[in-house]
Amino acid sequence: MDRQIPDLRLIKIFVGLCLLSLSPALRAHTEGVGAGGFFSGVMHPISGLDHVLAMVAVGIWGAALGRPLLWALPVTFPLLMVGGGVLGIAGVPLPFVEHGIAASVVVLGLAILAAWRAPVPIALAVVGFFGVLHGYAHGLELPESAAPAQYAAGFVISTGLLHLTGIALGALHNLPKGREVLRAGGAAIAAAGVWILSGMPGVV
Amino acid sequence: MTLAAGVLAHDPALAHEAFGGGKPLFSGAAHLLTSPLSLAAMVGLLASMADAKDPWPIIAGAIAGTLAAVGVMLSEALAYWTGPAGAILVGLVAVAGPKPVPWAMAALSCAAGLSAGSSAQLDVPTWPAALGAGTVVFITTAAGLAAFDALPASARLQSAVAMARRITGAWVVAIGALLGALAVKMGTL
Repeated sequence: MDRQIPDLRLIKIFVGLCLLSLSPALRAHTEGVGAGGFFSGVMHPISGLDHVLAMVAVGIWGAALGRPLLWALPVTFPLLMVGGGVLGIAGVPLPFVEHGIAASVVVLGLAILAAWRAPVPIALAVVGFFGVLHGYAHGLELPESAAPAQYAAGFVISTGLLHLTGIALGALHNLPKGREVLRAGGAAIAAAGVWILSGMPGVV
Repeated sequence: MTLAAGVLAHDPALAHEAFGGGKPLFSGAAHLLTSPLSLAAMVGLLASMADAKDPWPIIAGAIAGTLAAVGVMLSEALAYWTGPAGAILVGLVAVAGPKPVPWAMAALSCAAGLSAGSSAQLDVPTWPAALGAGTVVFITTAAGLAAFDALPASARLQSAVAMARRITGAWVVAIGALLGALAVKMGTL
């Protein structure tokens, strides 16, 4: 074990940056924190159960698959999400987006439940495809928001943090009984996805 | 730096209300710190150059800071996609995670600085405001890269940093591309 004592300079820099983030100077553009601004963007992925479950599932699945997918899945998702976001901003019609988002919850949940050791290209393709659908949904709302730049930054960061949450939960994988807990979590995610999907028009 | 941050965090440090003659300087810094694209470019630069060793933190900070000041002054003249393009470039490099090469680090510092400065969106660019923006970019880049350089040589920590910079790079690309698409749609940032 190579336990290191944290460098005092790093702690000072960290504390300094934390204090700087509290500066009232950062309130110069108040439109960025109101409706349609940064916090609206942050809240958009968090406020929808389908988005939350899918993002967390991406992180858990990546952690369960190990390197390189541990980081490749959370990297692929936002890169492909942008493609979908651009389609949404451009107003390109894409059918069954909401159904696809709900299906992403089911598929990713099942992948965790089954401990699917998907080959790297397949795992990237699955996550990338769903990333396009999630990005499209975000992109559709972008031009209508009051501060689209802040909104976009907010939802990208929020999405990334949900992935990191999933990766952190995926660390259970290394604990005794951790795999069983994660697979049970995958079952719960898939079940929630089926419930979301069943509530959509034209499904049941 | 902690002391300086504490002073700035104090109530009288209002960007648009205080500092009298220093107002444009502070305004330039505040505009840069409240622009998502400027912040994305700065974070992307840190992620793309996390392997840089001394003296590159200072060199990169100086280059990026200077180009940020130039970017602020030329923001009206530069194409509106300059900012997003710079952020996407540094983000992609962070995702790829190549070994640091001097000419590439200089080029990345130029791109990120220009991107950050041109995206600061000052209504009336002035040299004091450009100086304020450039100073913020210089301090952030130099301090951030120096902090990476000072990290303990723990294999686990280095591995975590390598992973974090790739993920952060993807976020930067996403923000840059989305704002670029918006800029194209609206004709401006």
